[in-house]
Amino acid sequence: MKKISILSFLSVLLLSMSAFVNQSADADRLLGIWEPSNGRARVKVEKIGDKFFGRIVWLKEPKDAKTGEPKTDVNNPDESLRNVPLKGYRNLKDFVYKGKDVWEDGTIYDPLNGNTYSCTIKMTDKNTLDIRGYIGVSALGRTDIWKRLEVKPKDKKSN
Amino acid sequence: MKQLYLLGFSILSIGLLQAQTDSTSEEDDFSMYEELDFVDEGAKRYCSPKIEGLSPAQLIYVGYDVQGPYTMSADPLTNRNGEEISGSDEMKIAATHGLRLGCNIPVISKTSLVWQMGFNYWQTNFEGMEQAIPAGGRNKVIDQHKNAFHTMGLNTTVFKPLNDKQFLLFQGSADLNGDYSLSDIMPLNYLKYSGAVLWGKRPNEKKQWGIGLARTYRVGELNYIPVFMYNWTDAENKWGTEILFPARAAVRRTINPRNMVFAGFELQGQSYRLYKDQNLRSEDLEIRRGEIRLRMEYQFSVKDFLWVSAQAGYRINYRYHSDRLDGGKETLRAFGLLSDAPYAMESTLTNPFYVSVSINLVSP
Amino acid sequence: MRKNILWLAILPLLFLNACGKGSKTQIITLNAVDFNYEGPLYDGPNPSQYAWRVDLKELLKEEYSEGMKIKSARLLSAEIKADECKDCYGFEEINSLVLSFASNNKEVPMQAVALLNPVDSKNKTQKLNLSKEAEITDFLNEKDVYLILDSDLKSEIETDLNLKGKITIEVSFD
Repeated sequence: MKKISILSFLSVLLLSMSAFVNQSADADRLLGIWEPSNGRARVKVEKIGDKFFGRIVWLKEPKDAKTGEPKTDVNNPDESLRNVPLKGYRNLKDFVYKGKDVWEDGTIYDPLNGNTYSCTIKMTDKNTLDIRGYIGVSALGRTDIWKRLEVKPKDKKSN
Repeated sequence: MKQLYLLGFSILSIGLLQAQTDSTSEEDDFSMYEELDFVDEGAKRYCSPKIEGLSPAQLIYVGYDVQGPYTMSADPLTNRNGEEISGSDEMKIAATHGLRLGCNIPVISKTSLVWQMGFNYWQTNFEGMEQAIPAGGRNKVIDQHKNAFHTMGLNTTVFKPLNDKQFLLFQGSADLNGDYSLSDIMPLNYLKYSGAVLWGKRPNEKKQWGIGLARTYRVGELNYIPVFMYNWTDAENKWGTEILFPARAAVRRTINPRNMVFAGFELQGQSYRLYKDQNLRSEDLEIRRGEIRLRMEYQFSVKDFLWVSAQAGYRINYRYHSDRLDGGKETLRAFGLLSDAPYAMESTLTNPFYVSVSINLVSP
Repeated sequence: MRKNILWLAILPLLFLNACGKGSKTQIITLNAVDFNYEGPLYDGPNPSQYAWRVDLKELLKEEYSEGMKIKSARLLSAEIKADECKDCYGFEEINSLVLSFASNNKEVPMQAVALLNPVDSKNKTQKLNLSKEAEITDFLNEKDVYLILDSDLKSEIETDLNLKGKITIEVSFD
């Protein structure tokens, strides 16, 4: 009897641990490099603590047209932060995995106008994200489709 | 049992390994990010409906429009046989004013398709009816200006990108325009349908243009006209244009992304059904209102997504004639090219200054 | 990030002034916040994070009471020093520094709190300019806070880069 109860305890423990591991592995599918539909930037999603953040790692036009200097966050409503470089900028912040291919509770920042929007990420397939930025309620929003990028071996590219 | 322990240990190890994974410790070779390709080789890029620097689209707006004093002069009104049924008249309008509100809510908003549905309601009130009535009595059409005119309708916009450079744009609307009251809204068979289809190109992030065809009541009566779109922003994001000719065109000066000044014009128009007066209703009359608004506009963000638009300008009357639509049948004059059918009544308006203020919730 | 196992020196410099209505103010200093970047490093922004286990008991010492909350917190200064060893890199390869706070709590979003752009490599200590609008109170009531330092490198670095931060925060509590 005692043996059975130990066994059942261990089974429950293992099952819950494996569920945790699976959940964590599911969540981490968001990690990687992604490109918004406009192709103007590339964003690397990373994990800090329990949350996911996206950092601009590449800009199609990295220099400011007026100054010729690397672009900074000139439209930030916080004037004291307008000198933060855009390359390396975290424009996706604080996403938490909610299961079923959805990351929520985060925000997306648009450096073009300095606005921060509530945001939900849905992975529609392993290489595609629906990024929905919205104001207050999800209905008042816009969805952009981001695609996953990877380094492709040169020989593969030439084929 | 031993196997169970092994399994438990291996799962625990995976958990520990994952706990130690820390993605930010990877050092980035930034040059690498230029050499990337889509994992999904079939992935297609689509152009965005917007360009950089464009004024933000309005999700919800509530505003008020006021036109200053002007004079409305009417020739005699004729019946179906061309006989005069109401004499000429002239009335000084002290002010024309009214609430304007609407919304534009995205139904589908994806990279590959944007579909929005909207609602709009405009009210037009006329002040000045208390003036001296001519000996022959008030002209029957002018008399209807004691009623508020209403415009209420639904509209839809579909943006379909074809690829990363080309797109199709469709706009359509169905409006009820007339002097009906909100407690007795006129039947839906008086709906006016307008629409436009454009094919366009978006060669870069700062320019989009398009050409197309519109069915419109913007000059008061029905017309089919070519339309031309040209939105552009300069390299420094200071200057730009927002043009959907002939409906509107403006030069934009961007002080910063939350403060913009515009100079330009808008063509506004409706065909107002005279519905409220039972006797006049059977005459099937519609006032073909078309006006050009030369204007300056200042748009700014009050807080986050809440913007204010304040515009002031000069309203130039284009047309204010009354047309008879027997059985609802439109007369397609095409600026006199297809028909020179006479109006049931011709009117002229002098031109006042106007102001318009609205508060808007703008789109991401 | 590499898990920081280096100790965190906390100097509670303590002004226990009565601040109206019984509020007390204390200045806490995180004296050895390690931001370690493992080489080789590439040019561009490189992040490093430091996991700070916020222990109010340790921070506030005798002022601590069970279940207490920080009423307000304000960043007073953020300074970054480079390793002074012979072959170590200093600030000559760094364009800019941005310091952010993050947490695991969904109600407490990441915030950039200080920056320096450009970095003056002649200075041994880089004093970051503080954000005027950043609000860090909520972080002080979290168990785990992540301090992230983004260093924008001018060119590639073959070895590690080790920076040390000194963060001073003023906290108020009842």
